[in-house]
Amino acid sequence: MILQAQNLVKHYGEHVALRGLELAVDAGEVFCLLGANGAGKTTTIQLFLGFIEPTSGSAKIKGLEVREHAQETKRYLAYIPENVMLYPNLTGVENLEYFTTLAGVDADVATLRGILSQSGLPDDAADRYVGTYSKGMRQKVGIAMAVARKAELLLLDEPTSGLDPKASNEFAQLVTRLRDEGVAVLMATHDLFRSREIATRIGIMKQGQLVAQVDAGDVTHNDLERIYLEHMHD
Amino acid sequence: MSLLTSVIGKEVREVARDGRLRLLGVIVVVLALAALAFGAQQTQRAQDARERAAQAAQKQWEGQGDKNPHVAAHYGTHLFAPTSVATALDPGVSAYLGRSVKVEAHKRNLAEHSSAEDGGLRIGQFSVAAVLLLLVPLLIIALGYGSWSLERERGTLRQLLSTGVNRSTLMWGKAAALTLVIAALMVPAGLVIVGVLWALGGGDGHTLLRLGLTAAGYGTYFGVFGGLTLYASAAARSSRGALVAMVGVWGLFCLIVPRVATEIAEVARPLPSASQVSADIERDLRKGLDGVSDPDKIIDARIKELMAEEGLVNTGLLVDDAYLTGFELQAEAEWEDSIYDHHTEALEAAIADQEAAVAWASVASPYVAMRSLSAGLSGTDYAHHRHFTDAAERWRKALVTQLNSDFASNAGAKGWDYQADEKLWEKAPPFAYAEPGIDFALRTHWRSLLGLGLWWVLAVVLAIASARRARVV
Repeated sequence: MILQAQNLVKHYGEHVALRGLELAVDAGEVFCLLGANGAGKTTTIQLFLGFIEPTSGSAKIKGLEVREHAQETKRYLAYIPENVMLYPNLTGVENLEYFTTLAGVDADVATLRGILSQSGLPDDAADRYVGTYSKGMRQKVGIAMAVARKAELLLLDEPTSGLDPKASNEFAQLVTRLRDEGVAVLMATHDLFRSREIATRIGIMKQGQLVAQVDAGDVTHNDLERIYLEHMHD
Repeated sequence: MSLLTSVIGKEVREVARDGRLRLLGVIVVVLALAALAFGAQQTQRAQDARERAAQAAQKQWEGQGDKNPHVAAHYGTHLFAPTSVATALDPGVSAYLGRSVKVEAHKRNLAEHSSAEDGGLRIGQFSVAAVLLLLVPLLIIALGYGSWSLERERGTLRQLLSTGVNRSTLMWGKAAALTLVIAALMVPAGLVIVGVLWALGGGDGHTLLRLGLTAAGYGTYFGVFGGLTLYASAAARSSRGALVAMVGVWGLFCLIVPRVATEIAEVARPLPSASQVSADIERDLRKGLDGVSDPDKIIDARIKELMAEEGLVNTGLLVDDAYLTGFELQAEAEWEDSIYDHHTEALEAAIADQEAAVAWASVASPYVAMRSLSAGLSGTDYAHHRHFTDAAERWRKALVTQLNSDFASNAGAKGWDYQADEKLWEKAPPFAYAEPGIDFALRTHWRSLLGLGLWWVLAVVLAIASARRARVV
């Protein structure tokens, strides 16, 4: 198992963000977390990133407790937030080179250009300052980071939010490709359509708990929407 | 490429590509070089004026013609402090203190300005030291306030830390990049400074050592602001908060603490006015330090002592009038010197106490520490001024003694009609004043050195702590 949450609890003072979350994602699997704002999706991802510590319970990546192995577990993952934030005064390839170097990947510039190209970034954009990039282009650099790092786990936090349909579709194809290459993906999203399209399993979160789980192959878009709305209206 | 090199490279590249920061850096360097040009011009003018004035004074002294030696002592001459080339870098308090002393019989004069230095008074505040002390820290703040806070606000810190990079690697990379950027601006400017000072005659090892230590001092001073800025960037809730906090710290260090320290020193150890000192000296010359002495009796007693030292008491010999006048003049001079020395020493002690009080403010402000250290290493602080005026006073006493001795020995029956000629004037001891060595400045400013060192240690500790302190979410 690449990623595993066991009875994961997170309190922010009086507020309970996660209530005993149980979750597991294996290689080649895309687990989409659906839920309203404040359901605990981002908290879950930040716990696996080690940016916050759980109140109790366990968050493991490749069997290693994130809290105890914060640096080591990051070697296996790549993170793409809602807005992949890059350095505006560096070019696309310079950003990619910087982040991959920090991640311990030794790749030459030609290889990185190739990865950017495979990730859907126009060739002429690689040497442009990122300050001129659209959000979709930045998300593609985020994907390129994951590819360059050969990440075994991808943590996506609403990565298609705000993307136009074309960019969103391209992003989904890239994630699907990574899934097919054996990467485990945990994606928090509001996008029922995309999650049905790329997920292997879908979980619905409400008030810090996983209230429903379905196999994406077993449901239609309509089914998924109905299940989601049923839980939201409870 | 190592992780650290990678962080440094990225940070430097970002600064180099930010037009606003480039412009800011260029402005600071241009201001420093402009201040250097002004300072060099002033120093050159002061050196030339000193040279001319010293030669004129020497010529006037040697060419004063036949004259009674004591009358010549009354006319006196002028002594001039050497103008160190480092004045072009840091005029210190030299712009406010005189660089020449009139030496004459019966009186210890305070130093005064030569006309050539009046211009220095007007632009004394705009110096390379002022740019380094006040503006470079602001540049460091502008470069560093976003080190952590902007990364957090832009979201790049999350992206960075998700790579697994160590926080301390980021911190050292950011600190090294900040150092490199400042060095890239300051080192070429520093080489220009050395070149200009060399051209002004400061190419000797002594001056280069002073400049080297000054550069090390400023490096430490900049490091203090760098470390504090990194910490503020990590601790503040926003980049704007970090910027405001550091500008506040700059104002506290560079404007408020120096002013408050000076005020406290003045209240704790007030200095008498010049007119008060003159009045006190006049009073004590008439009635002695205890207020009840009779100077005539004291001088008479001293005359007897001087005669006894020469074996002229109870010998039954008649003592030549002129010889006696010589003893009288010597005894009178000693009495006057004792009064002047007492008041001068009291004044110097009060000034030293004030300086010490301000120097202790180094623990509350690295600016105070570096300001006094910079002036000390440039030889333009009050201690160097005092070193010169003390030497001038010693020379004055030696000259007056020599002239009075000549009167006593050679006047004979001519008495006050005796006139010496240029042979005596040429025998006046040369005023070969040598500025004190670097150890003098370091010993004088040990409090500042200590204060700066403590600030540097604190800044390094806080910079290291900033890596842990920086919040991701």
